[in-house]
Amino acid sequence: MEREEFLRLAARYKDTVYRVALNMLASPADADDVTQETLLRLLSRNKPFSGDDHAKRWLIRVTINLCKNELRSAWRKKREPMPEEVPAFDRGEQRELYSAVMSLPEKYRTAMYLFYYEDMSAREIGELTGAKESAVTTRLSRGRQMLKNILTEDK
Amino acid sequence: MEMDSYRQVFSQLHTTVDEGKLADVPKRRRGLRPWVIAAAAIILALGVSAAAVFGHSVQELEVREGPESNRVINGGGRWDPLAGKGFISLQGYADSPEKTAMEEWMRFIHTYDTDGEMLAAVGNGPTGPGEKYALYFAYTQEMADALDAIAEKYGLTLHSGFSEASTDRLSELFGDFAGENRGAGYTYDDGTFQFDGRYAFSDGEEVDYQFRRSMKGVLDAVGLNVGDTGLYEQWEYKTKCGVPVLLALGEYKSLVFADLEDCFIAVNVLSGLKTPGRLEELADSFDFSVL
Repeated sequence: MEREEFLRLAARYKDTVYRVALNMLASPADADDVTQETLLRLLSRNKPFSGDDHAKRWLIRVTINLCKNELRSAWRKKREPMPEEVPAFDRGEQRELYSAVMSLPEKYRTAMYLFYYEDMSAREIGELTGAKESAVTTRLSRGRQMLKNILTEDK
Repeated sequence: MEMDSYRQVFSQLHTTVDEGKLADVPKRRRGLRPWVIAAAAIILALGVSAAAVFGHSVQELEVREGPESNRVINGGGRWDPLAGKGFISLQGYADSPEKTAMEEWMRFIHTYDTDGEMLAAVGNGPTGPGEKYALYFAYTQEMADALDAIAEKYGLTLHSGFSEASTDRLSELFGDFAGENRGAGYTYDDGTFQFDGRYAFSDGEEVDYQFRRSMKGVLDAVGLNVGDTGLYEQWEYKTKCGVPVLLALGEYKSLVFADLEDCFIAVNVLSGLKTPGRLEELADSFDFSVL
């Protein structure tokens, strides 16, 4: 890929890549690693994209695949759990919401992020994550209910 | 939950990855975080350099780009994403069959399924080739066949099953090498093992590290990103157990390597150590002679 095109796409979508990875891995450091790897793959890609939407979907798909690889790696499964890593937020309640989201199972977090932040449909999320549309809908519903319960319990 | 609140939370999260630096990196430094690259560049600019003073060096462990990969990937004149400067083998020094086989496998997987389409098709379900190959994250028959071919070419065997193991268990299995070190990890049936460990220095300070023993005669595919190997201060040190090791002290990482008769040992100190004495004390805490 040409340098200028890479820089444009990376600047536009690197935070999307990072946030998808963060939702899947729940670790800012690991999410940064996956972001870097995803962008390197973008840089080495030979085929052109049909448009920015195509590029965005490709980046999210590569990110999800890299995260899946990471999640099922023997090394990750065997390592000791790390202390909770929480980024800095403007307000305390935002930190609470972030922690609540991160306490959900991974499949709920990722579906919710793609739906509520990236405005993707259940069908599109299913295509990217390899899940059926109905399963995505269920994850969104359950995830939202679980999040509501967690936030209610905390008050 | 208000969706506006959700959006406000995630809108504040930004990656630290700098695409400008990635675009300018001439060689792929896979998995190395950007701040390490930046810091390494600064140190290099300051003229800090170090070299090994005896037979072996960290540079000998570097996973090299091969002529085949240049032809296949770099035909357009762009930098080669396979070129793993700073990515080292944990299987043995240059030209050992274990390291050479690992490099060949790395070349294969970095040119295979580059957009992840086949992996996406496999999903989280069982992989076709079976458990043995899953240990190498080989998720297609083609990958399994490539592994078998590389192993046969270099006269190596593949890992089979593995199990979790604490340092106490590893010491039971392989001898009391750990001393005061404590940790947990896993071991393959062939004797290759890895654990996350912690050591308390004599003054009470503690350090976390990763310890890996790679058996000779086995195809093992685990590597480590260490950044610019030219920035490490390296020296040979004879440990208290009498085994000579290669020590490498870097700004962000410290490393211990022991090339033993049956295996190759690599210790990766995660946060680096401040002085050579600290690294030597850590090396002395292991009894490499029993492994």
